[in-house]
Amino acid sequence: MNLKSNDTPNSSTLVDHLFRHEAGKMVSVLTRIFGFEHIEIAEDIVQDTFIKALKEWSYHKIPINPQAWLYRVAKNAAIDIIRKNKYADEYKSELNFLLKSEWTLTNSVDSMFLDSEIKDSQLRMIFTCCYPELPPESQIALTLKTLCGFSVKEISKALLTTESNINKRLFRAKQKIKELKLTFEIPAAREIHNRLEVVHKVIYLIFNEGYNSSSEDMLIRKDLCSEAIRLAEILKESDAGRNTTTYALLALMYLHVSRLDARIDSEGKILLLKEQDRSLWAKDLIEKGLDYLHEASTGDKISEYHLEAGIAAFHASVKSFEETDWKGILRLYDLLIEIAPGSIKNLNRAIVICQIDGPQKAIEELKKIDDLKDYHLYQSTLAEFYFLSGNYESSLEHFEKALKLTESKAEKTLIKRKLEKTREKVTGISQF
Amino acid sequence: MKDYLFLFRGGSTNGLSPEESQKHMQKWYDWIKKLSDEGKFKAGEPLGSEGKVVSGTKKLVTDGPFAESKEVVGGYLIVQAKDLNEATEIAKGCPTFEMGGSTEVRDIHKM
Repeated sequence: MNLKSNDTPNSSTLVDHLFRHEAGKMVSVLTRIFGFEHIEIAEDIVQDTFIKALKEWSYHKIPINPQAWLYRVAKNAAIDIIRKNKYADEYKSELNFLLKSEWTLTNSVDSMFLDSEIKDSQLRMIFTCCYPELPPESQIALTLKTLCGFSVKEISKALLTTESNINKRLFRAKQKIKELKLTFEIPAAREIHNRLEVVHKVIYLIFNEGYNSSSEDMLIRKDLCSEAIRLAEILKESDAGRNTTTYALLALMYLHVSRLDARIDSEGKILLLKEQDRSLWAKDLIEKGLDYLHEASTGDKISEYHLEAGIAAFHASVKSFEETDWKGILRLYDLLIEIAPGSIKNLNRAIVICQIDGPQKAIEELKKIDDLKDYHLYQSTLAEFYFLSGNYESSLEHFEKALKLTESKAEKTLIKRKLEKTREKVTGISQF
Repeated sequence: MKDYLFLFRGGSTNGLSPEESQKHMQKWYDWIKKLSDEGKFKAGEPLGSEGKVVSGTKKLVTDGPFAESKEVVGGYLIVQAKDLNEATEIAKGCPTFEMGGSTEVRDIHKM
């Protein structure tokens, strides 16, 4: 998955990039070798390996195959530790006996770093991090930390909370997993359906953080989206993780992410759907999304992700805002609200109603929602509808409310822009 | 299920090129891994070529291990099997024979 980034070729940028892409794999493999109760050993080895990389690659040449270099250093560190603790530690992994014999130690560790085994280890890690008894915020934090190469600082920025909170969540989550003595494995066939549901949810939430978050850091947000997609791709490539819902989730993410470059203009301002330059929508990502949607539509199960992907597809497949099939989208929203009710969906549906039946009807629909009064998008949507219906006083009132409800600079700027437009209508004079 | 000790003698890989040596070690790994997958492998180590021999009532210590290279114990394995016959069948799969080595199979008495 290749979202645009500005890489300058120096060793520290390379190390950062590799950390994002390789740390998760390495921690997963090492956790499989040492067992989850020793996950800290795995994390320490990976940490040390990257520190070594940074040091060596700054002073000497960057190796021709950086990934192989990283794996070799990590393997050797693991072998050393296992040798030192041979008689002390029990590694409750499937490899235990093989690790204790010099005949088989090196080859066993080596074999774990083969591509197929790396994929398998990541799959085990995904299911472990998304264990149902953990609270969702912990599942997300643990997944981002162990699988996606996010630092605690980056996670706290992405989830808009403090580093101390994240550290607590991570600690508690790991403790819980150890207490439950979970084995580091892919769930049995009879459990897999339920477990997969949880994994899908976590991936969706991570994607949502990247896509919708108010975080200022665009690079982190892009990375969140990439990582969510990458995790879903890992699922898709395994028998255990592949079902039509996985395809639907992938469809939804690819379709949304295709618009990322068009949503923000060169000055960091948010551009609305109707303002976006659709030539900036990534056609290859849209194609991929539509392909996945097609795959998802086989079989007899439909999930909320199917419907959200369908809605995204309606937008993605027309060249202009004016050509949008709003009635088609409305049908999907109605179905979506039926199978997975939620006020935010009603909010989105009201926006569609506005396109079909006009702002008055839309205002009526919004008024039926009673639990979103403190949500800035609710207030700004209501304000928008009042504006369109000519009721500028009410529009002002709700834009002001919206402004107070968001911390995001970009969102505040957008709302202020709308406030200006509204004030012009009220006073009849344009203000500078 | 009982425990059996395999003692590997001779079968030295001296004189093999690094690639050939590597290939031979891979055969050991594959053989033991298979035993492990079948739940038969319990422990085992290759043994170094340095050693001492302590012998007699006076506990005389000499450099060892042995004069004849084919007597040198190069490693051991502890394997689980139903009986001596099964253990012996398992021993026949050992890569040491390719190198002219031998395997002694003994049952382990539990006290």
